[in-house]
Amino acid sequence: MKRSNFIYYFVPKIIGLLFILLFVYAASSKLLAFQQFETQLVKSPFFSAYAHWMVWMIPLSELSVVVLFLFQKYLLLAFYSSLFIMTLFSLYIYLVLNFSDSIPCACGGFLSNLGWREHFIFNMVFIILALIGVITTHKQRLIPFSK
Amino acid sequence: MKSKFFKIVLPAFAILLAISLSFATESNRASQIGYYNHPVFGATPVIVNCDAPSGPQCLHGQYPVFAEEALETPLFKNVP
Repeated sequence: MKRSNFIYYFVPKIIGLLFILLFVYAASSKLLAFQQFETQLVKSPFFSAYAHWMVWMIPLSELSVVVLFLFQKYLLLAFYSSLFIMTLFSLYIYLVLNFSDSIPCACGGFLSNLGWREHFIFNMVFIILALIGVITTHKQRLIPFSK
Repeated sequence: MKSKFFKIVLPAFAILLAISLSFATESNRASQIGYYNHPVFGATPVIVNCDAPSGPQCLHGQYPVFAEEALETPLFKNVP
């Protein structure tokens, strides 16, 4: 297999696995601590009015993206969806850091132990990974796979 | 074989690993929301595992954690 083909074949799969790990972990952590997650959203400066449906919508959208990652033909859509979700989360962190006095973290699992800046950097890394995923998946479709 | 490994085995492993990790971290996870006095933001919510009736004071970093936003009732750390 040519080196470029190797990269375009394996890189999206490895990044996809990282996103599966992240989203399943984040969604299941939120669902396991459902009551706390709801309380955190109610206390959120921007989402308190929508907290009762967002408490379902956030983990379900994360799990929906995981389902997309499981099918090769939806891989590009999965990367775009991940990019969209991670950008929204980062935008929320940016708004909270700059325009709000109250800063509850409605995050799942170990992510809630990260500070806001660390969380922002963590999200940025995954945004970059999603972008790499989009680019390599595009390239993968243009280059015929050969052994 | 390689294709099946990437399509089925690795995603299934990743999903199982993520669920196991979430259970593992949730069991250690704090069980309630407390508040600490942030020097800039004031009373700031934080998740803590501090519902003991007495004992060592519950801390978030260096800040003591309280049960309510008024920062009146201190929380105490659960000692295993």
